[in-house]
Amino acid sequence: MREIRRRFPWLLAASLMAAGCATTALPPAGKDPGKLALEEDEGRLWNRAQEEQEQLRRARVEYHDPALRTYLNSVAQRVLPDEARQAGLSVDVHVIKNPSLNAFIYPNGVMYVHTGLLARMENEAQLATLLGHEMTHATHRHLARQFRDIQNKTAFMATLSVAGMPFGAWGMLASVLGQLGTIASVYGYSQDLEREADQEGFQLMVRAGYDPREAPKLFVHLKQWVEEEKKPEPFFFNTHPRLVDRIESYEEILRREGGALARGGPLRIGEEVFLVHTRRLLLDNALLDLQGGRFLQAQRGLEKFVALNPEDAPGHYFLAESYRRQNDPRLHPEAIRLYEGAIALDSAYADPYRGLGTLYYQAGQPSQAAQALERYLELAPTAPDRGYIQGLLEEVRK
Amino acid sequence: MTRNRHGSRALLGGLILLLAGCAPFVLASGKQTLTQSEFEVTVPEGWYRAMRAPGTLEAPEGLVLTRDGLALQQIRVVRVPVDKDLKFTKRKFDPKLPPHDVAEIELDDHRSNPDVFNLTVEENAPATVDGRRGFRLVYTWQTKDGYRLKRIQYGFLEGKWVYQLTYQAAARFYFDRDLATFDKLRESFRLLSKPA
Repeated sequence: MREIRRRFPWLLAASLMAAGCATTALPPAGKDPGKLALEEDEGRLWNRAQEEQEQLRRARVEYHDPALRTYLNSVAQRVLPDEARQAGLSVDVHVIKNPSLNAFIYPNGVMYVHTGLLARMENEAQLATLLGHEMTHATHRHLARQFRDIQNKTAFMATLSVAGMPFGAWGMLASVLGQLGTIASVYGYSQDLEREADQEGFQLMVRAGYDPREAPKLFVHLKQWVEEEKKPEPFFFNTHPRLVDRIESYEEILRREGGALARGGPLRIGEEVFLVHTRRLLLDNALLDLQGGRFLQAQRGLEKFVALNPEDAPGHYFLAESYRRQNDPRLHPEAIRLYEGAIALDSAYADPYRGLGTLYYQAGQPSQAAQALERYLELAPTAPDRGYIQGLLEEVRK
Repeated sequence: MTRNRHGSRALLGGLILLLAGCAPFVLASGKQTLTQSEFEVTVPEGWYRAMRAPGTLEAPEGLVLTRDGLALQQIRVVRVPVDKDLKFTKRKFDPKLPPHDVAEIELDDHRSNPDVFNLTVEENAPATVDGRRGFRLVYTWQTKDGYRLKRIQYGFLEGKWVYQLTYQAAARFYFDRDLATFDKLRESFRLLSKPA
């Protein structure tokens, strides 16, 4: 299996080259009657996609929330065009536990959306925009078209490279061919294919009854996040110029077609239903941001969570942690206020006392630190960090 | 003729010296004193010290040891400035942090590494190293290729420095085999003076 995987890029590239200048004009799924008939090279891409999906499954990177997945797939079903369904193409949405802004789809319709991207969305119409865009890459066979385009442009150079420098350009092409997920999630597709995904995806979300005005808003919102991030991630939806392209493209489509497409029936935004289903994810993703030291992102996620769940003590506690963990004494008053807020909501909740005790320890206030840490141990006598807290107590009591 | 022979010998000698200088690993046993990092440890017999950081010609930070190759097992004793950016998390150390926060930052950095999968923390507890209050972490994770690694890490804050004593090995066979060696080395760790 590993041998096949190692050789796959070479075999695929060799077969693409043997095919000569293959056409990039593959019809979308469902355009021709009957089931989608995969061409030979496309069939290999599907096989490779399945291998990569298996790798992802084994790496256990998926976020487990069955109700959320059911919900996401129900929205995907709403957006998926009938023609694609009749051609035998289905869409299966999975969630990856990762705070980056990323989503990608394999040619066989298996889609992955990062928790980071879902956490930044505001409603179901924005979700439908993303799903429509991504599923167009699958229904319109973009990966096969992109590969054929690469092959047509590089066949001559690649032939030279094989003879002259086996680890040069050819090696690079081979490595690209072995990483379908990387292409879909990092590099994206050509500008033309991305525009097609914008156009078709927009029509899909509007046809499914969603408010077209939400389409560009998704990308405007993501752009604001990216601008706040000092160290951008490599993913497609994390790239400023790509997001600007999407905004311009969707705004143009909205001006041109939005009114006509949206005629008839009330327009769906689906804010409440989306927020109900993504509530747990919002907190879990903020904790990933907190772990990565992305404090601003963590704070925004936690503030959103707390606004939606004002009675949730852990939300207040983690928001306090997002201030304390910045090691900046100027933020201590806000952290204390939030810890106290968490305690006011649930006086038996131990963690805010540990936070307060640690903060007072850092601030050089040993008596307040001792008081809070003692309370923590009273409330959580079997806490896994009991040894640490006892050590800290000994120190502050000296 | 004699001059030529002398010249060749000098050239050969120079080449040997040069090669020895470039050797990626040298056998190192007994007391190792790192004056710049202000600590000393006793290295057991049969261990090699890495003279270059992996993939570079630069000397590695601190002391890096292995017996069968870095991929199979390695012991690393280093100190890093508290204000140094960590590799994966944007969280920072701070001289005023208690040991549980230092341990948590170490774990967060490792968790934020995109090449780390299925990280499982087996132990996170207070520990002392050379009389300093610190932490002991034991955790396992999988690489992208499904290779399982296990790490035991001790650490503590001293002034403006975070000291780290780490033993990492393939979870199967190698980890258990060299664990006692690491424990001996850790017990031999001494700070040379109170660091600035």
